[in-house]
Amino acid sequence: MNELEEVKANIEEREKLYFTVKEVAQELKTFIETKFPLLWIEGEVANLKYAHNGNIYFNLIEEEASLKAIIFSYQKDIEITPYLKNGLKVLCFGKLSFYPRSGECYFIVRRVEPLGKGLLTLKKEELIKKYQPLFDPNRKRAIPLYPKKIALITSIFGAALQDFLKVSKDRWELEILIYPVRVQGEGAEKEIVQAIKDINNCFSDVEVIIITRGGGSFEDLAPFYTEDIILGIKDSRIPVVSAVGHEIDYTICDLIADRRCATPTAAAEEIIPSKEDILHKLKLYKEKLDQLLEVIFTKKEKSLYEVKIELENKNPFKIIHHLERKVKDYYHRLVLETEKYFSLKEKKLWEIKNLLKKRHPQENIKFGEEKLKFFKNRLFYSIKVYFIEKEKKLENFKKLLISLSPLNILQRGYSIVKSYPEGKIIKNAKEVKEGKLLEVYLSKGKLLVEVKKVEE
Amino acid sequence: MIKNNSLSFEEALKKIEQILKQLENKELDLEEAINLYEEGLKLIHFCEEKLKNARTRIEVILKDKEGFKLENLEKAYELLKNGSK
Repeated sequence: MNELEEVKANIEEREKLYFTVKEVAQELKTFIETKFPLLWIEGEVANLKYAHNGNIYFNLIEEEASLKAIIFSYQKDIEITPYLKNGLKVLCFGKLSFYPRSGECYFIVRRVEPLGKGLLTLKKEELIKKYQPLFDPNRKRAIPLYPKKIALITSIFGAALQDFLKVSKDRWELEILIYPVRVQGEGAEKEIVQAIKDINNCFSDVEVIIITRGGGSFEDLAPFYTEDIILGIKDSRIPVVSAVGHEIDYTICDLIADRRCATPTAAAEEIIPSKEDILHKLKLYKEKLDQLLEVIFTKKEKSLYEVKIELENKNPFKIIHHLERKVKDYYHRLVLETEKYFSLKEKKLWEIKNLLKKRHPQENIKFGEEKLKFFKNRLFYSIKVYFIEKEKKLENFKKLLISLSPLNILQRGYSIVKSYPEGKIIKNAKEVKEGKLLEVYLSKGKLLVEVKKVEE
Repeated sequence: MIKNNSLSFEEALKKIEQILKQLENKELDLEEAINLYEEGLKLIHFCEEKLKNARTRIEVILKDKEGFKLENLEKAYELLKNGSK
């Protein structure tokens, strides 16, 4: 049996017990208001509406859940109300209330605290957004480099003043006016703004206004996150320097001022020129002055030297001297060239002479004669040699002949036998027969003989 | 040349800077350069003298119904001691 059927069954079976609307509403109201007295609720702002009667309506939402919330107009001095916006995560303090007339449950908010960003950050963002053009760096007034009179807006009892005066003492020829104000707590910003006005109106020869105080809690610094400060500084004719609070965090006062310095000490150092620094600067200027004059001197000297050189180059004596030297040079060259020419011609002449000499007829004749003489001698000599040779050969032949003569052999006892009358030399015994006549030739004389016997 | 009395420190310093800039032009006439140099030296001297005597004067602005008056720091401190400023 499901739930619906169960309900149906109950309706059918039981006697009809009922509440009136008023009764239920009253019950709910009592229940809610006793169950949830004062409490904190965390949520995101949505559907923010400002009603004509001054109440502020919005929904506190978280994912799918939503709760209606009201800030009543009599509670609107809650600091954060101007900065509420859709999407802002907040922690609200208040109580839940049920309204029987509309049948709605509302969260009556008495206090709101932003989650994530602090209230001051929120204020800062809102103010910056609202006065965007006033924060333009181009709007900032220049701070005079060498002021003669400045005004300090600060607490006369604060450490900031002491810090500032410590640095500024005899740092510069300077008149410092101190305009004492409160720098924290309710209404401090009004005093500061009044001070700015007074200085602008009654101390118009002041060249710079410096608003300063030391660091502090965010609450302490609250006056420097106000609209009054923005407008007060904006309206100042005299440039304003802000040296407020922490080094890291910029207050609205820092942002709107023409110049921001991190601390009171830094403000004194940055705004008031240092005698020592300027004296040092002047020393450097002096050195530079010397250097520059030196450069110009050097340059002029150089120009002078150049002109001098140019003038010297145009000296007439120098020109004449130069021309003289040129003439001398030409002369030497002329002599040299002439000599060279002559020597060349001479050489050529000598060569021709030699050639001519070689071709002279007398020479030819002499040469022929010498040749002839040479041939003659050679001929004579050749003939002589020939004769000598021939004579020698003849002699040799004669000797040979003599040596070969048979008569010579005969002298040694040999004899030649010849047939008679034939005269044939007989060399073999066979050639003759007995009775044959033979002639025997002796070394001296001859014999005619007859062969008696032949032996072989 | 310089009339020391009429010239402010800032003007003098500016003038020195101008002179330095002018002297950077190497084509400057020698006489003009020397004049500028001398003027520069005088101005530097003038500034140095001014600085040597530099003192800080401190006064406190006090406001009452009649208007403003200036007091020295010690006295203002005493007067305001009872207040909270």
